[in-house]
Amino acid sequence: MKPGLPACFFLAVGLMVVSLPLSAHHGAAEYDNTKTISLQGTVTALQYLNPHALILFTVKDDKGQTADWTAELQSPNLLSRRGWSRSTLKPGDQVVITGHPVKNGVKAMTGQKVVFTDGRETPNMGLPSDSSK
Amino acid sequence: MRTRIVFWVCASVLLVPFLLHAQASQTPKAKGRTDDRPPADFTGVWYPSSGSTLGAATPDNPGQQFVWLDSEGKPLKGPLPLTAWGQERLKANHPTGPNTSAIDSDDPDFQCFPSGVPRIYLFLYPMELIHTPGRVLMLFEYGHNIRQIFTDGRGHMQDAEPSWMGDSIGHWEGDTLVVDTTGFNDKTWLGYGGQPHSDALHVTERIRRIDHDSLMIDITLDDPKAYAMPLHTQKKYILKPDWNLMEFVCEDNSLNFLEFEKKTRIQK
Repeated sequence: MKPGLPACFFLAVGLMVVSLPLSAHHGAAEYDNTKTISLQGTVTALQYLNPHALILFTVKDDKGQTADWTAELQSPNLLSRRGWSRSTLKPGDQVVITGHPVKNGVKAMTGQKVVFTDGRETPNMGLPSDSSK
Repeated sequence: MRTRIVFWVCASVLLVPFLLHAQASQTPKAKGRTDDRPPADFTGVWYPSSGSTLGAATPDNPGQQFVWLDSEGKPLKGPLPLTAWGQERLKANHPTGPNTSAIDSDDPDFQCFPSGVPRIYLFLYPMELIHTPGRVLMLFEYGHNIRQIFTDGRGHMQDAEPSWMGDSIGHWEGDTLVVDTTGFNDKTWLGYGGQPHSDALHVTERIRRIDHDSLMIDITLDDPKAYAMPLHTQKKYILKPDWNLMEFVCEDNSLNFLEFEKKTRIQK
């Protein structure tokens, strides 16, 4: 995705990306794992708190209307071990977030993958490997 | 003469610690502590293995369910062998599911209660094992739960108040630490499915290093009040020598998170 493109909303029903578990406290029952969406938006805040980090962001549709969205990530502990920190995302950052939407239709999703619109990538959010290294 | 006096004063002062040490070494060891060196040392930070253990269950929750085995080591098929009491308890529990959000569940984990044993092993967070004379300590990052496994030869506590993580004593069989835990309350679940247990739960764990970087925990649950037969399972952990435990406070984000959970709850 190139920077400067109008904000887009992609919905891919049945498309399976690598699913990351929302482990522990919360579970994943609220999310429709059969659907994957990608949203381009502007970060409002990264709440880097246990049990799960939340990205608050706004999405502008083709008519210029903005909507507030929330993406739920892993716990900060797991993210930190993959290279994330509280300053990985800052207010104003332009990002594309890919994940599963919630079932009840509100503007919330999991954050399976987060990339900046200028091409930079955030650290992988996968679980630690079975290697001791 | 003066030199001789100085010599004996100095010698006496220097000898005192040695004499005291010799006396201490003849004193019976205080109950509750031993200085015996354990035959194996599991000290380190360990992380649950992702897929190479019996724990892997669903694509979205790898490692977050136990696979229960019968006495011959074969996976149990069909429903768990619950007693009538156990079935009643299972019916009374409301786990998360396709139509039940965390906020509508009575899962004790979602209320930030301690996880119990063996459920604490299901969480994708590290634990640190520390050997100290007479005890092996298990420090769990998730929820900051701790277990003290007394290896000084003591028995279980008598008339102890039932607890979330139980009363653990251990002994060594070769390089295997055998841990015997009783004294649980009946408030924790065995997994996300609401699988119950009673306060008669007796957990036996055999913890051993299968190679330098891998720890295997064989777990047997004996709970005749809730289950018609003992249940077995296994959990593998990987050594993470460069890791330290981090703070994890379940309630940290609770106000924001509660609002988020209310917003995203599944409509019935």
